[in-house]
Parts: sequence; structure tokens; C-alpha cells
Amino acid sequence: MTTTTPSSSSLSIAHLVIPGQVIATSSSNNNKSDRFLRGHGTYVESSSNKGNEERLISSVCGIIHRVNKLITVIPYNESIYKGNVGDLVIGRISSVSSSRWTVIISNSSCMKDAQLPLSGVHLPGGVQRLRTKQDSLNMSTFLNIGDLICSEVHKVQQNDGGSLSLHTRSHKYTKLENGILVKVPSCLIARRKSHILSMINNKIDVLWGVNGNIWLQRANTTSSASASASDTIADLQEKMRLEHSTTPISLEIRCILARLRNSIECLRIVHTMCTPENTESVYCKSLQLETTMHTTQIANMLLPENIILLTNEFRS
Amino acid sequence: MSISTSESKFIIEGCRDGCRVDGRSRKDFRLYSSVVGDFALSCGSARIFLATKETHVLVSIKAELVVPASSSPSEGTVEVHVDYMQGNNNRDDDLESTLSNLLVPHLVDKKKLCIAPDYFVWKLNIDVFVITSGGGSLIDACSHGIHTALQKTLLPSITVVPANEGGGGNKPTVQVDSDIKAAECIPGVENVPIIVTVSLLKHKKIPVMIVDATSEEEACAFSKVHVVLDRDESSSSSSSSKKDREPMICALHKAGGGALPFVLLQDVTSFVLEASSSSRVVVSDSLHHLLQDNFSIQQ
Repeated sequence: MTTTTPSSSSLSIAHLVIPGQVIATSSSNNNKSDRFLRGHGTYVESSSNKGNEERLISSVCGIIHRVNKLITVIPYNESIYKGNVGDLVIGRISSVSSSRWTVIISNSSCMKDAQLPLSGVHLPGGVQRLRTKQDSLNMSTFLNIGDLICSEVHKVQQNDGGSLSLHTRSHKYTKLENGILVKVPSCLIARRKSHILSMINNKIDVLWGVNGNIWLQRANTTSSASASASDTIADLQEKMRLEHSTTPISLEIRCILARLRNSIECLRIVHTMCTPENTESVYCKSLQLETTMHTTQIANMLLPENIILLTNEFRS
Repeated sequence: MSISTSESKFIIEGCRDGCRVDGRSRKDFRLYSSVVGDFALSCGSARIFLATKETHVLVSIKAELVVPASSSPSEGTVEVHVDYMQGNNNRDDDLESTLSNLLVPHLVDKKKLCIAPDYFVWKLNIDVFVITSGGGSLIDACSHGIHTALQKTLLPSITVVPANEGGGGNKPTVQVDSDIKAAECIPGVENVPIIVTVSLLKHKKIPVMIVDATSEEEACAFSKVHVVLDRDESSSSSSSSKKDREPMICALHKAGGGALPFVLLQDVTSFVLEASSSSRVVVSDSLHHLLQDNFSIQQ
């Protein structure tokens, strides 16, 4: 076996590699069973000048993890969102093609766009049926370019550079309207049990997308006036969504939304985890500051001296 | 940048109600911080960024001695170049021409850049390098950067040796004093104007006007008007000699396509004058140290 790995001798010591660094080399003439296996965060390059040598090269900055012949590099800092099945992600539709929507889910250009197939959405009316040609013609009436959606990662395509396929087959996942989108680096969002939370005395619904997009909207109140007994759940959902998107937002709610947005921005600027708890605590602190010092208006939260005051307890 | 109709409606209604997405009112500016003198090899430089770090621009000024154009033998020249960081997706190709057209005639008195008519004048190369531009109102940030950098620009002092003296033949020659202490500021540089961009958002009949738009707000705007303001504030002396001078409008420019009713321009200019009187554009270099002390520098 001609495989040489720097990490082979001592597994307890973490080996840090940088992108482009050769992790292992092997000659491809050898028996196939002798060669290493390419894991996440690595790629194989065969150099022609030195016989048929194959080199395993790191593609990210991180720590080598090795299980027998499988060599992976675990990224040190996941600033680029890497999808996991089941993640809640918030993205923007960038194009509509014959049977799928393309969704931008990452702010950086290195991330591939995700796909949302027509079969991955609930059609209006909520009936389960085959998608017809007519449906694919009407796709842009369901979701058009520029629309924001909240969806779940359905599949991670392994052979396609890790591109994601999404679905919205649940009442939780809808088109997002009448609210604010806040973008943070994805590493500041922790995975938790539930990513849809009510905050600020249940006045605001917050959707924490694992890809770093956070959506803030007024809480969806169920008004019984418009609901009739014959409605199915799907009809009710549709009605609620429509009601939510068409009701104008009061100035009071708008101020709360702006303050909450600035709280998240404060945490982003100091590069601290944007958890709901942290956000709510910054929010409360800014309210306190306003009453005691009479100076902190909502916009002033983002002045450097105020950011320092507000995030004091989170910066270590 | 594309934006959904629902978002744009939300943003426009917020602007109408006076509570924008980040809590500002229509006339509020964001805070810009600047660091001066980062580049050792340029005559003057500034780094300007939003407090939220979404926009980050470098400005470097380099002066060189050139032979003036025969049409204007006693005038120096000023040129603005704009470059983007590689991988910056939202680049605006008009930025360079817009900046030059709006600012160059008002930056410095070109007659004062003359050293020896017909033979030597200063040429100021202003290089603007956009690192990130996610915060919107990029042209405003660039003009703040140019403003700050020009204040700190030092030109070496130069003595002209007249012709037929010192072996220069029948052409005058120059002697450059290499001592940095002898270097001087560009005369008249306190009055470098800045650009304030007004974005007009469509709301029923009357458009809603805002200053210092974020990139989302820019995406909703149907028109933008750049207003070049001569604010006459020499950063240090403004407190001592507080003159109640109105800012002056040097130039107006409507960006992008589409038509704008002519009567609206009057509203736009009065809106800018009103907004800039309560302006919160604080350009300070001490803030950076505050940031550096308290933040772990990220990204």
C-alpha cells in the first residue's frame, strides 16, 4: 500500500489542513482495495507526470477525520451553508423552469442554488393529485421570481456538488409575505428543535432558517370570522395566509419588527450566535436603555457604542 | 437584486409611516466610520464603512506631475477610477462615470494644481475600490470616502527652477522637497462636496422620498436622484466657527431610466436640504479604535 497520510499514525491529534493541501497520495496502479476513499471536504486529483499517482486534496480549511480508508475534512468554521436533510431554509425564487423552481438559499456565490420541484409543493386546495401539464404552466402564479419561501431540505444530492432539493409539503412551509428578511452568516444559527417561534409576547413570529436567513412577521392570529365549518385545514391555511398578507401592519408592530431586526443585526455585527434567547435579551435591553437614558431610538441601536452596550453579556 | 412585490409593499408602507425596516425615519442617515492614511504609498487615503459593515470602500489618492493639456496650460487634472473586488456581484458600471461627472468639477480648484504653466501641473488620481457594497447607497459612501481622503492628502512642496538656471536648458525644472513635514494640503480642499442620494418610492400618486437607502429600499425605488451638496464643514473648525450657512447644491443627477416629473425636483432638493441639516453622517476615525478594542474582527 502506497498510501501515506499524515493523520494515520496518531488519530488523537487533530490535523488542520488548508484548501489545496495534499492530504494523501496513492498510486492508482495498485489494487483498488488499497486506495483511500474521498469524503466530504476533499477532492481527488490525478497527476500525470508522476506515473498514475492520485492525490487527495483538501477543499476546505478544517480538521482531518479518518475512518479506515474514508478521509473527510470537517470544516473549522461553516461560513458556507451545507445542507442537512430536514433543515428549515428560507430562500428566494430566482427562476421558474418547466417543472421546478430555482431557489437562492445562500448569500455567497460559492453555494449552488437549490431546486424546488413542482411535486414538492402543495397545490392550492390541498388535494393530493398528479401534477398536470396545466399546473406546470401555472407555476409562476404559485411562486414567482423574487418571492421568498420557507421550505425544508428534502434531499442533498451527493453527486452534484451537494446541491439541495427542497419541499414545502407541510402547512408550516409557505410563501413569506408582509415581513422582514434578515441575513446573517449561517454559522450563527444553531440547529434546534423548532425553528418557528413566537416571540415578544407572541406578537411576532420568527422563522430561523438554518441557511442564515431569518424571517420576521406579525404573528398569525386565527380569526374565526372568515372560517366556516366546511373548510378543510388547507383552505383555512390559505385563508389565513391571504389575510396575513393583505392586512396592513400597524406602526406599533412595525416598530417592534424594526427593533427585533436591529437586535439580530447587533448580534451579527459582533459575530455572536443569533439564538432566540440572545435576540430577546438584546431586545429587552434596548427597551430598558430607552426608558432609562431616553436616547436609544430604534435606529440608534446600530451605533457602535450602543452595540457594545447591548451585546455586553454575549461577548466573551 | 430582485425583491418580491410583498416585500416592496412592506418597505414602502414603512417609509410612508416613518418607520423604515431598520427603524430610521425618512430623513435619517446611517453612521459611516472612516480610517485615514491606511496606505503608505498614496498621498492620501481613506477607508470608509458602514457601522453594520455591509458597505466597505477604499479610496486612495495619488498625485503625479504631468505636462498640462495645451488647451488649458495652467490647470491640473483630476480623475476618478472605480474598481470592484473580484466576486462582487452587484457591480454598477455607471458608478465611475457618475462619480466623475458629479464630483470632478467641484472637488478642487484646478488652477491651484498648477506649478509651472505649460510645463508642470498636478494630476490627482482618485482610485475608489469597492470591497463590499451590500448596504446600498454606494455612491454616497464613495463620496464620503473621497471627501475624507482629500482632506488628508498631502502634496510634496515643490520649488520651480526657472528656465536657463541650474542647467535645465530653456525649460523650467522642479525640485521636490522629500521632507514630509514640508508637504502641504491641497488648497481649498475643505469645501469638497458630498453626494446625497434620494430614492423615490412609488406610493399611490405622491412618491415617498428617503435618503441613504439600503439595498432593499433601492430595489423598490422607481427613481434615484443624486444631489451634490457643498456642506462647507471643515471637520475640526466647524465647532469653533459655527456658521449658519445653508448647504449649497452643486449638481443634480437622475440615475437610471424612466421619467420624473420636473416639478418633483423642487421637492427633492428641499427634502435633501432639510434632511442634511439634521444629518447624522458622522465621519470619525476614533470610532474604529473603539470597534477594534471591543470587537473581535470577523470575516
